[in-house]
Amino acid sequence: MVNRAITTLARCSVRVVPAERREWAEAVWAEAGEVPDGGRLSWVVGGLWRVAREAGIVRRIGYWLGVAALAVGAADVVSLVWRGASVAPGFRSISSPTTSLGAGVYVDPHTTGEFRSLAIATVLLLVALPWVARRRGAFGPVSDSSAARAVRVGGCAGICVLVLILARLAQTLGEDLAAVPWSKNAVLLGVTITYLMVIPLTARRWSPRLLTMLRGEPTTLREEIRYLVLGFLAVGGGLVLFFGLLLSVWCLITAYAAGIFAVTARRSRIAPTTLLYGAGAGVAGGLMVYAATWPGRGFLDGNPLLPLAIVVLPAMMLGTSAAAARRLLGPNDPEALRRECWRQGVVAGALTGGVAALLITTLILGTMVILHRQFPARTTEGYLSVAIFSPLIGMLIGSVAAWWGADAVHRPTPRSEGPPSVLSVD
Amino acid sequence: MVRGREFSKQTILVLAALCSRPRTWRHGYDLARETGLKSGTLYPILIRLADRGLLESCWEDEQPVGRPRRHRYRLTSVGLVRGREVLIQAPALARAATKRRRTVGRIVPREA
Repeated sequence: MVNRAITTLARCSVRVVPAERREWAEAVWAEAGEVPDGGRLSWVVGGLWRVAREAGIVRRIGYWLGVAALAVGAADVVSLVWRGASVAPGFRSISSPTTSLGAGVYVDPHTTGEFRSLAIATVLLLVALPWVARRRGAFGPVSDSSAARAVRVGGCAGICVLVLILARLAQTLGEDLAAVPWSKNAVLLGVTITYLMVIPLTARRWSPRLLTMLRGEPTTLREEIRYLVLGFLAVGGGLVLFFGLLLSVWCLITAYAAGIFAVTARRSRIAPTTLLYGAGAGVAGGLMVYAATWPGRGFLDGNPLLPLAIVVLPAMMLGTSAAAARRLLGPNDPEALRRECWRQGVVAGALTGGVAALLITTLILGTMVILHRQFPARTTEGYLSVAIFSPLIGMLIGSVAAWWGADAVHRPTPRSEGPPSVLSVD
Repeated sequence: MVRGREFSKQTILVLAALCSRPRTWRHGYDLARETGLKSGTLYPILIRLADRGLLESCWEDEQPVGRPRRHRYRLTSVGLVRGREVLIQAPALARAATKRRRTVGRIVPREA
């Protein structure tokens, strides 16, 4: 009986294994008859599981489960949003007039068209995620480390949950998420892309010695004026775009997805330890702030521990960035090591801020949706501004902490026999 | 930059088992018994050794009665050289592997 079951299991499993590894799966099965009865099942299951892992089957199953989850999420968003903004009993939509559908549910006919555009944009985003994740380039495929995989899967899940919550929020509280016209979004996107391309290109052509100046080497007055103009353009343009983007939820979500994919891609130079530290501190910080805001009724309004939590979060960014920078075992070149420390520290800080912000926004807005009877209709912009500023504050704090950490880590002292934190540095 | 150890402890045990009788074709359960490794550990090691050209494998030529044909393994010439180098570099593990081989040989009669 057991033998028959094992044979059936093995035959089915062997067929699933890709051709280049099928021989090994058959080898495990062929040996099963020799193993005494007590250990036969563990022999077959253990062997086939590991052979399947070696062949990448588990990864493929995970990928397709993720795609299925995204498809379900997209269908849910469409079903919610396509009908238009309806308002829960007892609440009024932020726009008027409303049409009663009976049972105290109201639908706002004026916003229905905009919400349909929103549904299309959401579905496009959810469809694009798996495609971008597999495409070879700056955003994919994912790195081999478990930390990178966990951050990518967790980040995508967080983004999808946030999208669903925003759609549900639009339904239950009448939030006007599509308030920004699509023409404005398109212009913003165009300006952002141009800005992101023009500044580095100009810096490269106009001031090739920019890095030497940043290292404190002597420069001429003309060069310094050029740096000043470039700096003004970068900072000023960044601020303008910043406040422009603040209005667009979908640009924010796209930026989050791009950031998560970029740091976890195979081409990325971010160490697994940095990802682990950043994401771990972000989860802890996000949960702490959420716990401190519960059961507030206003923007980040909560118990008296909230100010303490808001002070602790930047401290966590500082500590995480310094720790990530100090973990480096780099080359003997101090300059290369310093640059690498800086990169790891900035990403660790940004990741801490980004993960915490995503968690805070998702949990608080999710709570508002679930307990919508206790919350008056309100705008989400306050929480979304947390999602914008938190990673940037993290980057800023991270860069400071990394410079500090880099000084302490100048010597390439091996600490263990395990693999290094960063596999290749300039 | 620190360079990690090239082979894990388990891989060295497998290499020691294969080096002990380099001309003999071995099969998976035989190696598992000798090294004390479970199938979930042993087969990935064999796969990686084969991918690196240190191990050759083949199926039994004839169909035996009452059981399926076995997949057999032995070190290639490169694998044998590399295995012996590794065992010289890790004498404690090599001694442990030899001790275990003797113990297993006493308790369970080895098949022909």
